[in-house]
Amino acid sequence: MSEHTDSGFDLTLELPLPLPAPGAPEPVPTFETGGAVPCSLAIHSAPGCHQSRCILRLQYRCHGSGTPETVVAASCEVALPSLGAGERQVVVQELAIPVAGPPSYAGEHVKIDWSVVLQAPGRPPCESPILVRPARRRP
Amino acid sequence: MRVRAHPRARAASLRLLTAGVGCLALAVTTAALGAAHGWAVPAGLALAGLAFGAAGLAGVRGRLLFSSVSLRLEQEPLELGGAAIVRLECESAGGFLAERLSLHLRCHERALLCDQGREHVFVKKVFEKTVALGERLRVEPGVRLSYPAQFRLPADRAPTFAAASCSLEWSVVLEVQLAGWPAATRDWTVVVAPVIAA
Repeated sequence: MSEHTDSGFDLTLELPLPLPAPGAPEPVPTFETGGAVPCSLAIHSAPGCHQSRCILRLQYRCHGSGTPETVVAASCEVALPSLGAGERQVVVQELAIPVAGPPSYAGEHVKIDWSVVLQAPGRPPCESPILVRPARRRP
Repeated sequence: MRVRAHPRARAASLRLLTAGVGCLALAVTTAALGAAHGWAVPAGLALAGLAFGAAGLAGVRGRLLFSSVSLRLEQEPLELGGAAIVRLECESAGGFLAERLSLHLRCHERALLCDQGREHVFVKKVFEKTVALGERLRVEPGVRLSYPAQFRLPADRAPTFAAASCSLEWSVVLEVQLAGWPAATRDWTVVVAPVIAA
């Protein structure tokens, strides 16, 4: 969960989490290649707030021993609803993961890390890591 | 596509040639700087290196094992957790006794680091599975050989991937081992899709 907060409004990005396994570390939102990432944006407005748009970006970063590079797989601009003071609303936006992936990977020289980035004007970008696994072919 | 075995002397001859070129460059530089006889020693070494290197290479052209070799995959792209069914077809050039003939399915990580104009390449083999096609195999000249083989791909590995500075590469490699010679190899790149087979 990522959160943007200032005196005008709160903007929270929520991603679905897998069921936690007993004794396992904190779960990370996990998706499959060719699937979609449902991003829930919770907006909580304060008086005099006129925030109208933000950008959601689905990206992966290749790093490790080589020169790092970031590839944007999908992005969209989200129009935020006009809210009265103290009102709260949730906007859901899906970002598509390409069929060709790549899946998340952690090798010795090559690492691939996926994340969803929420960017609102005038604020630093907020990044939420996710895991992307190879799609399982249905029999 | 051919397969040729090269004796170890080939690598030594290439090193001699490279050393000869280096000595030649040193001799030219020394002569240009005006040193009286400073160029004579590197020039002599250059002549020796170039002569022995060239003679060595001329004498070790290698040995042609297969005049043609091809690999057919029953299905491509391959899928993680699935089977790779392949058929190797080859025609021998000269007769030879192979200590071992084998096919390998391999995956390598490859990363490229550009640092102040220099390029560093990092490579690591992260998966290998071997299928032996024959041992102590006598191959007659001009014979057509056909070998079916099957590999099981792991479900927990990464598929083929390529970005500007890093990649994951899968390949099938034919390896022919002759007694007293380095292994002769030929490889084919194969594509593994980001899908786990049903």
